[in-house]
Amino acid sequence: MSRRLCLLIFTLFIINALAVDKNNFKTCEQASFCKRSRNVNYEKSPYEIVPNTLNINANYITADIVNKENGHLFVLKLEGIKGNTFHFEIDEKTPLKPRYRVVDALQKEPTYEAVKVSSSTSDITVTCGENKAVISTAPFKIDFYQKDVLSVTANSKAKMHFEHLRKKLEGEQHQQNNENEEKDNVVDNNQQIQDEPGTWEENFKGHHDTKPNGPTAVALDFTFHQSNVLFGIPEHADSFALKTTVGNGDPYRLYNLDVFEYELNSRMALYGSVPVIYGHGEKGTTGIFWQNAAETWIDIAGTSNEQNVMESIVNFVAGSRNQDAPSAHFISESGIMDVFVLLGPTPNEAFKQYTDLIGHGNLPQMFAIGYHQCRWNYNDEQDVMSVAHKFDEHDIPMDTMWLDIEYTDSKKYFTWDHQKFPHPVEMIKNLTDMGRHLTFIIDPHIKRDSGYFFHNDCTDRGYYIKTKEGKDYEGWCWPGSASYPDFFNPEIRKYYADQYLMENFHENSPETGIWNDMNEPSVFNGPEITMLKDNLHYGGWEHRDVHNLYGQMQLVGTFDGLIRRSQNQLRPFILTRAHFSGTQRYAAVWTGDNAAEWGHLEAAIPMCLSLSVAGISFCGSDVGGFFGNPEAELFSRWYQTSAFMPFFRSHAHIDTKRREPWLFPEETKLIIRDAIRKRYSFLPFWYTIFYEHERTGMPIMRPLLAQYPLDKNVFSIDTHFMLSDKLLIRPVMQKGASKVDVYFPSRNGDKQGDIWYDIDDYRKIDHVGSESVTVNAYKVPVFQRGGTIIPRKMRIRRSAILMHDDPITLVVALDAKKHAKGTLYIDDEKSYGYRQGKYLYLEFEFKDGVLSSRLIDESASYNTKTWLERVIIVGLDKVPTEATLRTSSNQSTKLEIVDASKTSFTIRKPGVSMMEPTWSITLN
Amino acid sequence: MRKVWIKQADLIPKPFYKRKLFIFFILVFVFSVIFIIYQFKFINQLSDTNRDLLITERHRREEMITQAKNKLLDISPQQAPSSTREIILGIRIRDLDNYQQKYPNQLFRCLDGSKEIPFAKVNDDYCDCQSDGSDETFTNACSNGKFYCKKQMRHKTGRGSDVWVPTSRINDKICDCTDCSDEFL
Repeated sequence: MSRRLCLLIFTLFIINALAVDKNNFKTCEQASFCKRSRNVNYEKSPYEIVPNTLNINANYITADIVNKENGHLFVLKLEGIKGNTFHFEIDEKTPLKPRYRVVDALQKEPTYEAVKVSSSTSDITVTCGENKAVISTAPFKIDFYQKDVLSVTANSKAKMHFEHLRKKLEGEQHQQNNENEEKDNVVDNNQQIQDEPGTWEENFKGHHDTKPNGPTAVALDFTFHQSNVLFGIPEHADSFALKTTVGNGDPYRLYNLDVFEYELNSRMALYGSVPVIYGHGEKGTTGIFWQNAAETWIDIAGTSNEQNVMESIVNFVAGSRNQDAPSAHFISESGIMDVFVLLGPTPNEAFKQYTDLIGHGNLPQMFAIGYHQCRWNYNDEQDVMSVAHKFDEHDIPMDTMWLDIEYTDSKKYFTWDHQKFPHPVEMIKNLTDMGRHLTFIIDPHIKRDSGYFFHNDCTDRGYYIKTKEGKDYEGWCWPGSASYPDFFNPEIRKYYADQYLMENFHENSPETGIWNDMNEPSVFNGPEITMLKDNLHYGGWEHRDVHNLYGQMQLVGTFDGLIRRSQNQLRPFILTRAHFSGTQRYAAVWTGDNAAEWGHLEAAIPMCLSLSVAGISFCGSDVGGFFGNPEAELFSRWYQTSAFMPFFRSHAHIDTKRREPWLFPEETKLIIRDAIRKRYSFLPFWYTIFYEHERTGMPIMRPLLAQYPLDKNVFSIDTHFMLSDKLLIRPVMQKGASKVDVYFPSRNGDKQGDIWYDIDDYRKIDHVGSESVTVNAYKVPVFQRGGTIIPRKMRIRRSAILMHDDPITLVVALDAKKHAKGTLYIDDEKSYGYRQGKYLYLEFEFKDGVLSSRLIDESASYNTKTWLERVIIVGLDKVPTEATLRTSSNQSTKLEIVDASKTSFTIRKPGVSMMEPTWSITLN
Repeated sequence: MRKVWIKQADLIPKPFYKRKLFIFFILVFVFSVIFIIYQFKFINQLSDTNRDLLITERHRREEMITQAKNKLLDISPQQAPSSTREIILGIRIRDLDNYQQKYPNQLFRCLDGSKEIPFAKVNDDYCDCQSDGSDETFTNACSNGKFYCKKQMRHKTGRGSDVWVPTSRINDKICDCTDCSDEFL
C-alpha cells in the first residue's frame, strides 16, 4: 500500500514539475531573518568595543563588544592560526541559553600561533607572524592585512547584525511598553524586531515554524579589497565567479535542499552547503570561512564579472575601478559568528589554508576513480550481471555497478528484495571475481514499519529526531511514512554504523561501496522538501541550528561502519548528495539530479570547481543527465567531459530510456568507449593527484586562476579547468560543434605563457590567448603543460584494479628550457597500508637530456611489479639516435628510439622496475 | 467420342523398384546422408589434425607455455629473446605462416602490413604493431591485440567468426575463452 502511495506521489511529481517549482522554496523576503538582516542599513555600525575589556593571552585576545542601540554585550575572541590564518568569533556575553556552535566541521583543533598585541583608544593591532589584524574600536570593524597589504575587512559596510536571545514580550506587556512614555531607545529597538511578522513564528506554504527562541540571526559583511572576483560557497548551479546580488534579486542561499529538477544560473540552495568564499585579484587571494550550519544567505556586491568591455576599458584608462571592492554579506539564521580568515596570498595557498582546517580529501581506492555504471534501477540480479557482461562484450572498461533504492525490500535499508535479488552475496562475488565492485544505496529515512528491526530499535531507544513536543518526527519519503535517525547523537551513529558490519548485515561484503542519498534530509511533505526547523536534536538543539550538517553526520556514521566492516583494512567508498564543510573526509559528492540538457553539461564544471576550491575535490555529475533522455551527441560529449572529472558515473532516472552505451548507434558507442578508455589510460596520473590531494590539500580539479592568478582573462573562465597543475581541459559542450575556443593563459598577465601540447597528437601551442581548435566527435581538447611529466598506463583492461601491475608510460612534455618534472604514486590501491609507509612516491625530472627518477619518500617502500614500458618525449627538437638506461646497480642498457615524429619520439621499453630507487635515461 | 489415352502405370501400379526416378532420389538422399555423416567424422579428424599442426606434441606445447611464462615473468629486456618461435599462442591457424621465421634476418610483417619488425620483437611484451596489435599475441602489450582461443567454436558447423578475446584479458585471473586458454600462467 505504502509503495503504491509512494509511486502515486512520485507520479504526481513527474506530472507537475517539468522544471523546478520555485514556489516550493523561500526567497529572502519570505525568510524573515534574511529579510531583517539584509535590510540592516546603518550609517555607522552601532557595535563598539567596550573600552578596557581587552584581554591578552598567548595565542588570542578577547574583548567585549556592545550594541549601542540596546546595550547588549558580546564577546569577541580573535586568535592567530599557523599559516596565514586568523580566527575570530563573536558570541553573546551572557546569552539566555547557549547558542549553537559548529564542532563537527573542523578536522582537529587548529595549530594556534602566538600573537603580539598593541592597542590604543581607537584600535587594537594583533600581529601574528607576518600578518596583522587591526580592530577599530568605534565603530567596530576588523581589517586583516597580509603582510602590509589590506586584504579583507569585516563590518566595513556596517552590516553587522547580531540578534541576541530574548524573552518574548507577552501581549499585555507589549501594550504597556508601547504606552510607556518613558521608554528609551533600547526598548524601542527591541520592539521593532518584536513587531516584525515572522519574528516569533513563521508560516510557509502551510508549514508553521514556532520559533521558540525568537529572532537569532547573525550577519556580518566582508570586503575583499584586493579582489576582482569572488567565488566559492557551493552548491549552486551558477557560474564559478559569483554575481552581484545586491539590488539584483535574491542572495546566494546555503540550505541543504532536495531541489527537484533544479534550474541553471540560479542562486537557489541545492543539496549541499560549504560556507567558504574566496576573493581573488592580481594582488592576491583571500578566503572567508563562515562556520555556521544554519540556513545562510550570502549577499554579494561589487563583483566585476558583469562589467562590460567598455567599462573595463574606461577603468583601465582611468587606472582605478569605479566600483567598490567586492563584498560578501553573510546572513545566518542562528548560531554564532565564527569566522576563519584565510590570507592566501595565492589561490592555492588559500585553498590549502582552508583544507588544513577542515581536512584533506582521502585517497580513495583505485576502483572509485574508474568508471561507474548506475541507473535507477538495475532491476534484478540478471540485469546487473548482463550489463556487466555487456561491458566486456563491447570491451568498455567499467569498475562499479550501482543499485538504487529498488534493491531493498520495500525501501527498508539494510534489507534486500529477495524476489529480484535472491542471491545478493553471489551477485557481489560474481562482480568481484570480474575485478568489479558493487555500490548500493542507504538513505537516512527509516520506514515506519513495525516489522522493520531498524525502525523498532529506533523507536524503542528514542533514536529518531523529535518534534518540538518530543514525539518522533514523521515525514514522508520513498518508503512512505518515515522517520529520521538523529545522527548527531554518537550512540545513534554507532548503532547505525554497526548495521554495516558483516555480522549484522550478512548480504553485504567488505568491498561494496555505499551511496548516501536524500540526506539533506529530504522530506517530501516537509517545508521546502525538508524537515521542520523547530524539530529537536541531540543536546536539545533545534534542527534550525544544525540543518546543513545533518547529511555529514550520517556520513560520519557510514564511514565508521565501513571502516569497521573491513577490520580497518579497506578505504571506504561513499557517495553523498548533501554535504558541508568537511565532507571530503568521508565521501565523494555528485552534483545531484541534473537533466539531460547541454546547459547541465556545462554547469557540471563550475559546480565541481566551486566544490573543489571548497575542499571537496572528489566531484562529478551524472553522465547523460538524471532527468530526461540525452541525444546521442550530448551523451557522448558528457562522457568525454566527465572522463576528465574526478568522479565519473553515469546515472539515469527510472522513467528514462535505458542508456547503456551499446544501446546508442555504433558510432556513439565507439566514442563513449574511446572516452572511457582514455580515462583509464590516465589512471596512474589520477591516482597520483588524488594522493597529492591528500598530502597537500590542494584541489585536484582547479580553476585556471589557481595556476594563472595574474591573468585577468581567466578569472571568470569556467568552461576550462585544470587537473593538478598539469592538464588543461576544455571539453566540447556545444551541440554540433566543429571548433571550440581554447584559452591558453598567461603566467604574468602579459604575453608570457607556458608551452602546451595536445595529448592526442602532441601538437605544440606556444602562444598566449584564445585559439580555435578543430574537433571531431572523438576529440576532447586536453593539453599537457610543457614542463610536466605524466604517468599513464596504455594497456586498458576491463577494470581499474586489474591494471594494478601493468607497466607505466611516461609522457615527458618539455618547457622552453627543455626541462620537465612529474611524480608517480604507487601502492596496493585499496588498503590503508600506505599510511604505514607501504607505497612508492617517485619524482621524475628531465634536465639536460637526462630523465632521472628518485624516491621522494625514501623510507616508504612497496613491492610492485610495475615497470617502465615506454617514455614519450615531447618537444625536443632533435631526435637522438639511442638512449642509455642506468640503474642504481650501475648497469647500463642501450635503448631503442622508435616512432619519431616532428614533435615527439618514444624510448622503447626501458623495462626498469618502478621499485628501482634511482635510475636515469640519457639521450645520445 | 474422343479417345482418351491413359498411362498404363496409372491403371496398373508399378512396383516401387521399377520407378527409376523415385529410386534415384532415394539413393541420392541415402548417399548424401552417409556422406554428411562421413564428413562429420572427417571434420573431427580435421580439427585433430589442426591441433597437431599447432602443437605437434603435448609436452612441446607445455614447453612453450613455460617459455611464455618465463618471458612474462621476467620483465628485464636484457634477456635475449627465445629462438624457438615456431609455435605461437593465441594466433589463428591461417596466420601461422606469418609468425614463422623461415630464414635468418627475416622480418615479421604486422598482419595489416603496416610495419616490419625483427622477429625478436614478436611477443616481447612491447607493442610494435600499434595499428593492429598483431606482434603481441599472448602478452597484454597491445591495447588492440587479439588472442584467439584454443577452442574455436566454428569447427562443428563450419560457420561463425573466430573466437578471440582482447589480449588485455590474458592472464588476468578471469577465464574468458570457453576453454580458459587465455589463462595459461
